[in-house]
Amino acid sequence: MRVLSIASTGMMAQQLNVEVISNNIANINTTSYKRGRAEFQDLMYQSERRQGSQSTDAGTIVPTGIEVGLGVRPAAVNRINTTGNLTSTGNELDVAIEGRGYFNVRLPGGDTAYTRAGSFKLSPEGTIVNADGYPIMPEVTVPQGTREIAIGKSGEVQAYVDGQAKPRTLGQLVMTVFVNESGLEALGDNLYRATPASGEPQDGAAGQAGFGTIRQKYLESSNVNVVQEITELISAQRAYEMNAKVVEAGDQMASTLSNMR
Amino acid sequence: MESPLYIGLSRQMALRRQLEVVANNVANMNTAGFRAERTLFEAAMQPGGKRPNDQIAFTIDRATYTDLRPGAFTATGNPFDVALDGDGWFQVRTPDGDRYTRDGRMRRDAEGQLVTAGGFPVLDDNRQPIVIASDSSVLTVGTDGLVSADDQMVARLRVVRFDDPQALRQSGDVLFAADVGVEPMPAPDTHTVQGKIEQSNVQGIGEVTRMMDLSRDYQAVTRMVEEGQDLLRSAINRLGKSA
Repeated sequence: MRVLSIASTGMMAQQLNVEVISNNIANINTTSYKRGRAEFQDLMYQSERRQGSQSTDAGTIVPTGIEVGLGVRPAAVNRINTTGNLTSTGNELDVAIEGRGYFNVRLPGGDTAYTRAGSFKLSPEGTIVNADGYPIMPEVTVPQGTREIAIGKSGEVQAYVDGQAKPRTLGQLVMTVFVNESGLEALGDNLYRATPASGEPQDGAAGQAGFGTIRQKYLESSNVNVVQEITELISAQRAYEMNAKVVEAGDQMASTLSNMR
Repeated sequence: MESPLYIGLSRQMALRRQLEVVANNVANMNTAGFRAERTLFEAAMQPGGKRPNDQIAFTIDRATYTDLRPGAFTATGNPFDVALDGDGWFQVRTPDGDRYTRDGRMRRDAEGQLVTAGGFPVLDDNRQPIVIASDSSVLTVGTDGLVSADDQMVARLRVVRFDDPQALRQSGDVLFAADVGVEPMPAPDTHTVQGKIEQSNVQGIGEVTRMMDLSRDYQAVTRMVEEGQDLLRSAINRLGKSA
């Protein structure tokens, strides 16, 4: 019975859809989280009678054939990379990127990861680190006796140190863009890693052509829209039910047949 | 005398295939750009019965055709989602040749090409892949298919239409293939809408009622076959009795 396998591909697809939606809703308050979207495609078609084949000796052809599709398959879980809302926090180490770009973070193993979550902190040594304590790259260290840290639109970090009227420049936040942002591999903890699909990382400074600008004392919230997620959840659930109904109908037909005298 | 059995069988086979088509439609309820399939039945006449002009009719499922009604648009706000308002199709390049699709969930691949969800390049006016410079940040698509990156015009999406869209064949991955000799034509009346995707045009309620309908039909045909068999059985019993 092909019916059962076709309907089961539909049920599995909707299950994945609900899983992706539930992860979106779970991350509704995660800084800079990008919503995922399960994308589906139809499977191949079995041609029972091909269109265009000859139907008579006189040369007439079959205008439309018989094609039976074999169901649905998930093609991708695409990350939708629109910028989330910027929320004012007042914290001087909170930075948000308005537009494209990622901050660079050094993982404990020495690899570079990329993040848009700019809720930075200071380590005991005064270096700027992310929420998990991984230093941002290139490292920026804040000297002792700093009254205030100022981060400009293009990412230059300055410190107002006690007893000095002029700010001291500490360094520059490097930003990286990718040709195909959806191709980045999500590592969790708001971090991403470059892959062959994402393209080579291109470093630059905020405000350059193709790069976003930096907003100090703001954080980027997730780009999850609750209304959209809930309506998609309802539609996924209904689709699941209808696929289950198809399984039931296929089963009913099989049982009619097996009860035939 | 065996006719009821074979007539019933022809109907049962057709109904089963129709259920498979319905199952595929329901499975693709949430596949953007998907077009529902429908089945066509026809009677195959054969001489039978006592008089020379008596005929009996078998069911054959002659064809499946594509329901080309547009699907509903959903706003996603994603600049890479483009929907088509009209009877046009996007043209995409696959290793097996050019294909046509209504699924406008695009993205940029590692080379900066605009590709479909399946990774196939979407073609422009001159049937070339569209490359978007890596240093551009804002992508806009006008209603006439004009793609611009940071206000710089890049290319115009190729949108085509067919005089007989039923000549297109579904080839999976929400792509449609055109047979040799079926030539696409420009579709100036089709507008592109950025930030929206066109949902599948499968109507859940219609499919579920169709399914209930055909599962009842299946039962009725089976009953008919059973009764034909009963008739035969009693005939054998009565006529076969020794006098």
